[in-house]
Amino acid sequence: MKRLAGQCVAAWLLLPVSNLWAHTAIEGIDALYNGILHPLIVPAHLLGLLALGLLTGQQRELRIQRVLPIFLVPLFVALLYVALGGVLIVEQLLLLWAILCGSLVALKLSLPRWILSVCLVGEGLLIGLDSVPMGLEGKDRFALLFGIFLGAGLFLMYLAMIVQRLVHPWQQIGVRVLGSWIIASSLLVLTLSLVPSSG
Amino acid sequence: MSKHIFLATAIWLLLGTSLWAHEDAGMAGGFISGLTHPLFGFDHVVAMIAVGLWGAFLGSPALWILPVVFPVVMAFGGALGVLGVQIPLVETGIAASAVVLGLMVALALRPKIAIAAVIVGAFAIFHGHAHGTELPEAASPLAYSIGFVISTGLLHLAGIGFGHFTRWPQGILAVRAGGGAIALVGVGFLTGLL
Repeated sequence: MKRLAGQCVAAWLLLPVSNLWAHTAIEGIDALYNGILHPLIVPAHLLGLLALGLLTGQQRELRIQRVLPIFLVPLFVALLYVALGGVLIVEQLLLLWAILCGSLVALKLSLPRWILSVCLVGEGLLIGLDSVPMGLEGKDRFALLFGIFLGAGLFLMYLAMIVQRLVHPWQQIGVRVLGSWIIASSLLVLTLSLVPSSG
Repeated sequence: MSKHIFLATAIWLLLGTSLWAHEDAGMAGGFISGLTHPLFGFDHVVAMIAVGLWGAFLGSPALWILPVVFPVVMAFGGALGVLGVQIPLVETGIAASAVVLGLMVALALRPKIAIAAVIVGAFAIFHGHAHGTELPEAASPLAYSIGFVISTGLLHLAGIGFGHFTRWPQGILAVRAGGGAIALVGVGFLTGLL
């Protein structure tokens, strides 16, 4: 476990974290790779996935591979809807969902399966619907959306698996504190989205 | 072992080297600006450390309740700042937070957890409001807000780490002395000496 944590930390530290915020479409890489990175560089998506990953990982009795489809299927359906030209504005709802999941993380409740399922379905749908590929058509459009499907699914799965292995009390406290950070960040991002920009 | 390598590699690839390819000064600048904002205000620094210190001093469940309550309420205060809601005497509240929280540690006061949470939450609004009023001017408000939440949390962690010295007899004295020092710094800010 310590080696795994060390490897994860080393991998993370080698990255320039600030570049995660580059912009929504990263120039110079193809649409598929853009899609894989997309959930990590859109704040509302990242906050939601973080909260959901922490929440899923806190359910220690759960087998991640059993619940992952509950997230992936609605995500796929929503991405398909978007691929076929559907547009729905859901960013603020996505942030509210992150606040909800972050609250459950901070409270560290042992959730009934149906509540976790609702969180997974909701997050999957909202991330998918919020992933409208602006200015892309044809093969690139589908490649980007497929990349989002892969990136979101992989990120959620790995994060939940890592959190499930955090058994020490101080580690579990750290997860709860992360939940509060997600609530705080989501609240601020939501507030900013409601304030009209000046100039 | 191979499972660990696979996981670590997957994480690396997922966050890929393409992240190096593009630098957006706005986003990166906003995040760094937010991250450093609490650090460049000594009044913020001492109060944040005091929260973690007091939590460690009080022990479980305060150890996690205080660092959870503070960022959430701080964000609420930040939201008020963004929305332009005025809160009187913000700087006084920030300085007072250092005095009160420092004294709580110095005097080894152990109120009920609900009272401790209310005290911490009350002061969090002032800190959040101070950060929030500068948020709209930041290069990238989104990244700025995430930066200062993370920075605040890390300061709590520093306080918690220091607070763990209470497991040793001399450590208790050191921690209480630290609380006293924080309270004195707060007095300095309140009186305008600092």
